[in-house]
Amino acid sequence: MSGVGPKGRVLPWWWRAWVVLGKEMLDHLRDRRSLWLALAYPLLGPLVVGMLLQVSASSLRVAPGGRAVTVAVSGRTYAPDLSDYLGRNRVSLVTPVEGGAGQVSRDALVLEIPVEAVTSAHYTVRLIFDANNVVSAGNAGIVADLIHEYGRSVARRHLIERGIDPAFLQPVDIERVHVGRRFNMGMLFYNLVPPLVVFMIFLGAVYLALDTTIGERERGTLEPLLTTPLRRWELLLGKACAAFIFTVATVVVNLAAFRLVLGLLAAGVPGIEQPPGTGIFLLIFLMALPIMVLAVTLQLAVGAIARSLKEAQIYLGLLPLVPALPGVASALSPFAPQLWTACIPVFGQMVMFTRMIAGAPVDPLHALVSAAMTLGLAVLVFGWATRLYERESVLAAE
Amino acid sequence: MIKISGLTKAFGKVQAVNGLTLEARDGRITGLIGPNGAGKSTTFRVVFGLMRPDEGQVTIDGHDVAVDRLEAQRRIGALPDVRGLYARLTAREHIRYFGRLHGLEGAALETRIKTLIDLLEMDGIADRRARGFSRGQELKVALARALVHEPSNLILDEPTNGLDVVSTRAVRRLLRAMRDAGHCILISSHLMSEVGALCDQLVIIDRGRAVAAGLPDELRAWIGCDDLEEVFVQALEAHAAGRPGFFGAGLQGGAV
Repeated sequence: MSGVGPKGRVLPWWWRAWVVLGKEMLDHLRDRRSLWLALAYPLLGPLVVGMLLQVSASSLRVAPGGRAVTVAVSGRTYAPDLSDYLGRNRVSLVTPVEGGAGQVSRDALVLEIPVEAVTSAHYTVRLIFDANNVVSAGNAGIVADLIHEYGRSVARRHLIERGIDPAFLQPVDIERVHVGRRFNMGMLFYNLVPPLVVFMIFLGAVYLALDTTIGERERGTLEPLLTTPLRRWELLLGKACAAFIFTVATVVVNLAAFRLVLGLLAAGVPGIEQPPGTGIFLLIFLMALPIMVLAVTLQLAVGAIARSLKEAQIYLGLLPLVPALPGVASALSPFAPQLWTACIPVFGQMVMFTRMIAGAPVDPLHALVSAAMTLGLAVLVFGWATRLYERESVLAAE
Repeated sequence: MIKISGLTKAFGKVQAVNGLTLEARDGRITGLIGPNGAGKSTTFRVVFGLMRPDEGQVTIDGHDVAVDRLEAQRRIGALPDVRGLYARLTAREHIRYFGRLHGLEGAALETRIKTLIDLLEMDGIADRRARGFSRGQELKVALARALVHEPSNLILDEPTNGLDVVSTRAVRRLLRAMRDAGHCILISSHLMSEVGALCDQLVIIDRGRAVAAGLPDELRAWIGCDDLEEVFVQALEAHAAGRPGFFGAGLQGGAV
């Protein structure tokens, strides 16, 4: 036995993981790519959604009490009563430019009134719109409904003049009762927040996760590191904590930017309600914490499996789509929170996020079950990543 | 002390190490030399605790690397053949990181870092980030982080490869001083001049087995030639021809 010996103390596991965490934080806080991905990328989603909201709002020209529709009318003088009726119902009539139907583009709407309208008791108007354009199609529906209503009112007048009860004209009426919340166009865009936040969760620390696993192997720093008295799970725990901190920073920036951008836009556009309050965003952040844990463990596992940075980039590029896709589905067609939705990691939270954004209360049991399931999966993935790191082949770079 | 007994390690059909036995004693510098593919790096990786042996045993100061990896690793300072550095950390931060992983903290750690920076003449690069370091500078940092916890056993792969003459002398002085202080030092090298200048005992391996071992003078006498390079070549030829190897008495239970 040697007369000399190592000078260091035997450290507890958490201290060793802490040392790794400290190094990773120091290293990546000096790295522009890590910082850019964590702090600048999360601004993109809110800016894009904000721009979409702004563009859509200006296209629809939302105003209190309904929206004004602009129609280019040809033959306006052939049916002045119809024109007046439309005008009284917030339809703005303008003179069409030359070219007729060929000029219909984007959200434009053209109404052609034939000369028969002057003399005939029955005539056909032509409504020209772009069915592929949501705004144009929507406006066409509004104008068509008004023309139908105008037609019925004319028919009723004619029947009364002839001593016939107008009820014969339409024996069955429909009374439409809208039981949903007041239509808020902003909701269409607010529902995009949960899937985009989850997408960012899986993207925020992706560079750090790659650099700290495959990068470590490729630059030859892993081998010296593994000669130190450090269990593989302690090493991975330190790295996972660093990735987690970067992910948290990403999500904080992302959620704050969503609240700020959408709030500012909603304040400037009449008819669009404010997005959910800061409290809801804070709650979403807290409920997203287990997803962040799962995301970093998955990233570390991918880092252990992939043989090269290039291969890992392929996997990690696809990784955010897996949890985000169900979220997109639930944004378009919301699921009601049930036990089975809570049992699916990430999806359980997405279901709740969509409801929270819509102003519905959170079911604490659903929140607890989904958090437990997601954290449980994260622990399993972490264990798997540790086993991958215990393989001798973890040293072999491609 | 490092004891390797009947170490066997294969990768698929490739037998990298085949029943290697050797002993690197405290207070000595043991040189492990062999041609490319002889199994040196694999042997070192098993000693470092990075790989598990298929058969046989490696102990560091009595701790079986496969059974008690952390205790064994606390007792080694490792310089693998890959010296990778973190481009965004300074030389001082590299040494500090490894020192902390070995349980050093505070003033004791900072004093040790200062000592190593002085010993390895790293003043000019101590607080520079590692990006752009020359091979020699990288090697100094890698050596310093291997030495930071003053391990009882040093295992160094090509410890002066890439260093200039002045730095090479500094490293040799340091290793001799550590040997004299009672440390066990196991090095591998391709440079016979290095081996001749540093090592107290040599183990020549080929195809994963020890083919000769002894004091440098014993090996010279066995082959009948003063040139260590010639000794090395003839030892390999003897092994290839199926002739028995040489295992010196001075090794006292060393390579078998």
